[in-house]
Amino acid sequence: MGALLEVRNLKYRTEEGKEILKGVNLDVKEGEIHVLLGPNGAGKSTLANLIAGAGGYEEPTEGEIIFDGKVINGKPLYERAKMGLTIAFQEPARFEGITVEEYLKLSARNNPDADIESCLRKVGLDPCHYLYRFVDDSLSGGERKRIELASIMCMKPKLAVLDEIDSGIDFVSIDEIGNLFKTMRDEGTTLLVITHRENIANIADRASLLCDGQIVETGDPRKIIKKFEKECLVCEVQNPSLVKEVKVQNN
Amino acid sequence: MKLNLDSRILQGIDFLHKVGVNIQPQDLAFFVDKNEILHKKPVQGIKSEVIPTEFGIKMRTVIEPGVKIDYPVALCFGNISHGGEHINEQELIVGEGAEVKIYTFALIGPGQTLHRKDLVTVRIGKNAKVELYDIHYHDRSADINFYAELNAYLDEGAYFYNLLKVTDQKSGKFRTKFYGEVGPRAVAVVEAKMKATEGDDVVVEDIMKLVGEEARGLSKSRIIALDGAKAEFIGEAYGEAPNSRCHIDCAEVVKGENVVLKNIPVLVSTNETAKLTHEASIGKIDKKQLETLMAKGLTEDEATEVVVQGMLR
Repeated sequence: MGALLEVRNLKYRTEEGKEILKGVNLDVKEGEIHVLLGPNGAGKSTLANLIAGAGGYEEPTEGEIIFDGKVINGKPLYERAKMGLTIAFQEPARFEGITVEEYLKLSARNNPDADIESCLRKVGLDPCHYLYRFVDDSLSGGERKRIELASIMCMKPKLAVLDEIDSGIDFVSIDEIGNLFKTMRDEGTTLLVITHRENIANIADRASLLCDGQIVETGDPRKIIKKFEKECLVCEVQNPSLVKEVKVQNN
Repeated sequence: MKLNLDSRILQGIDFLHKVGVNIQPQDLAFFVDKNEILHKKPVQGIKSEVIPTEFGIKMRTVIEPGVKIDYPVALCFGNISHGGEHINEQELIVGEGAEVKIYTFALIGPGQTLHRKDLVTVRIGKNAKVELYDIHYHDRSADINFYAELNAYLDEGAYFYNLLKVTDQKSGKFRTKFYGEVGPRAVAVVEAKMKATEGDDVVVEDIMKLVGEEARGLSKSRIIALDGAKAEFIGEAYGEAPNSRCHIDCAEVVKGENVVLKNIPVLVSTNETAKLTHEASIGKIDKKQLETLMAKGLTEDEATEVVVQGMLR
């Protein structure tokens, strides 16, 4: 399979002059689950937002993003979504007065074949209990993220960028979420998954390691996980919370 | 049963359909056009007296203790074309343990200049439950100056829910004032959903007085202000009784330019065990909400509309 997404020499500097991305090169092949690992502050979410056109509609300082053979720099978020590229945010927004059913129907408006009840079931939520609930603060963080995953299944995009969508979901359910990613892939959605969880990274077809604004290695996920644990965590002595989180996961 | 309907009732029903209320003439218990009573149907368990006055009506409604009305009662207070001064005075007395859900519709027809006051007092007996939905249709071509006052007195263990909704067409110059005295273990929940368009000037004032032990109050307002509108929210909570609780929550959202918004919270506690909280926001629609929807393929305008309609629902 060829690359569905190509990121070429992508650089991003903030208005204050801080360099977040320093020439990222990344290929995501059609039909794969590609995991992006990296320490906190490496630029993972910035990269995800630039690929999707989100994060306040910022544009890269330099470089190209090519999706499905077309350069998409400058295209707004909704146009990229219509082309089949979407993003699920780390903390998806909540909406007063909008039911889960309405939210999923909005997501499915360009996919007439979507079966919203089936998508809810696939993320482990019973439609009888959830369709008429509001997508507001009454949902737990985990429920909201599952609904976001269901909405992506309803959209059936060519590529979904999932920015730590697995955080806040309990460990017992993580394998279930991993299986869901596989189902999404098997149903035709390529995934670029940003995660800190080893068991999510393990289900990937390929992985890349982002460090200090650059991709330092791409390849077999197990190899990348090892590199991440050995090299990145050593660097992260000043970031004990992440070290603790990874240790907890490894246990 | 075939109804002999005045055309104004049909016009009123048409207005209601425009604001998303799917109601038929036979569902109405009462329809008045300023001071002309066009329709009045007896409702079992409710005693109602209506006196037409020069500028409107005086209405006194009593629900006897223990009476539970298991279907919504719909009352229309219209001003289809009279314009001028319009004053409605209403008193609702709900007996101990009674339960009722009432919809009141304020309908203002096109092309008139109207100065209207709705003065409503609700007295809710011990352990009684009242839900009052006040939904407005204000025709865009009318020049409206509206004052709506609602005073609610809740006895021990009573429950009161009020929703004021002015979300379609225009608000005009609209001031609403809620005053609630909440007795022991009683609960008052008031919600206002308002849309202010160009030239509108909206003021929402909620005053919650928690006078009984363990009284509970919640005031929640959602105001959307479009280009050239003014909106103000004043939320006051008075914790006077032991272990009373009140939360005031107001979000005012700007969509457009030349909008003036104000939000004034007042929390006064005279009892050390009372707890009063306030949550207020003024500003544009949350960027994250827009981006979450735009990631589904909605344009920014479409996403904004979805968020606004959800808030005003």
